[in-house]
Amino acid sequence: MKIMKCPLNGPRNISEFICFGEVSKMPCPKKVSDDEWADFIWMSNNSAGVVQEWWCHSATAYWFIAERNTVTDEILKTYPASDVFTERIDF
Amino acid sequence: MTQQADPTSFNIRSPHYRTLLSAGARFGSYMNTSCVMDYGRSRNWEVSQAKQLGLVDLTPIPRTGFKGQGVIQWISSQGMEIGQHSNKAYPQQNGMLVGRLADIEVIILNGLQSRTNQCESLDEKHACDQPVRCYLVPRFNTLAWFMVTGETSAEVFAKICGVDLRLKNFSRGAIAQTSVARINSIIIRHDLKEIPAFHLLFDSASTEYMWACLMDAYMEFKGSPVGYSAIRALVM
Repeated sequence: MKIMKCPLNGPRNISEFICFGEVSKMPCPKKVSDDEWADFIWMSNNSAGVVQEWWCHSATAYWFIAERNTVTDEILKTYPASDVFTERIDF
Repeated sequence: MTQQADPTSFNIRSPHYRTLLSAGARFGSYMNTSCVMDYGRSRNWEVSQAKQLGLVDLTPIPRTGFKGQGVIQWISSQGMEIGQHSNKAYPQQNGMLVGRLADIEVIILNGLQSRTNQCESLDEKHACDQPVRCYLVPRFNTLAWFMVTGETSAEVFAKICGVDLRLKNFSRGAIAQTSVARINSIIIRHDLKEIPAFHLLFDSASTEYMWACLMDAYMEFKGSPVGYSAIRALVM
């Protein structure tokens, strides 16, 4: 059984989690071109190596960030999204 | 609570009341809901069973929840005492149980001995106050509520849940939000005086399934469903 450490709930079976893809910086919606916005929404880098990814603990709907090595599938670190996103973004 | 009420004559009853009836449940009226009082056996037998391994359906009993950045502040302003730690339940003097699910979310269970709908009062107060960044999370119609009681309850959970709920590792008031029999669930340890007991809350659409899973797991430990009267006797 593969175990992942949720920052809120502690170690849990990996089946309780869903990966939502890599973390990427959102461009300013007011300034960005359509192509750049489409690239942000739909495209991923698919890097080999350590990446930051969005994960969700499905039992609590708790979203957080994990650092995972995509080559070895080793999860190196997990932390709350508030560690990275420190300000509320209003549209 | 009055004896022998027909569950179909109440607007609020457990979604799997037919299963409970077939198991011999006898229903009573409790706060205008239909609640299983007992299963037609003696009070002493049911209390003894609850001490060993019992399963109680508390689904008709009120509960509520709130979520948002301002939730802890508003809950505290209502006279409730809630600590700093998430995944921890905080009993209140009025019998309610406040479970802190995260820094921004709580679930609140009506007092098991209360004869008033404390959660409804809180919901109404919330509607009046309209506190900033504190949003109602209806829990009454969305979650089913079982209680697993008795000395071997942790062993039963070991069959259907990956989290270590052994009494020495899962202390009183601890909360686990995890998968139980592959259903997302909230488990709260809330002992009935000296008897180990766990609240189990999960999607109400899975009530029949969860009941069947638990009954299957109970067979190994000679567990049995018991009524609300048994746990009430244990906490009196």
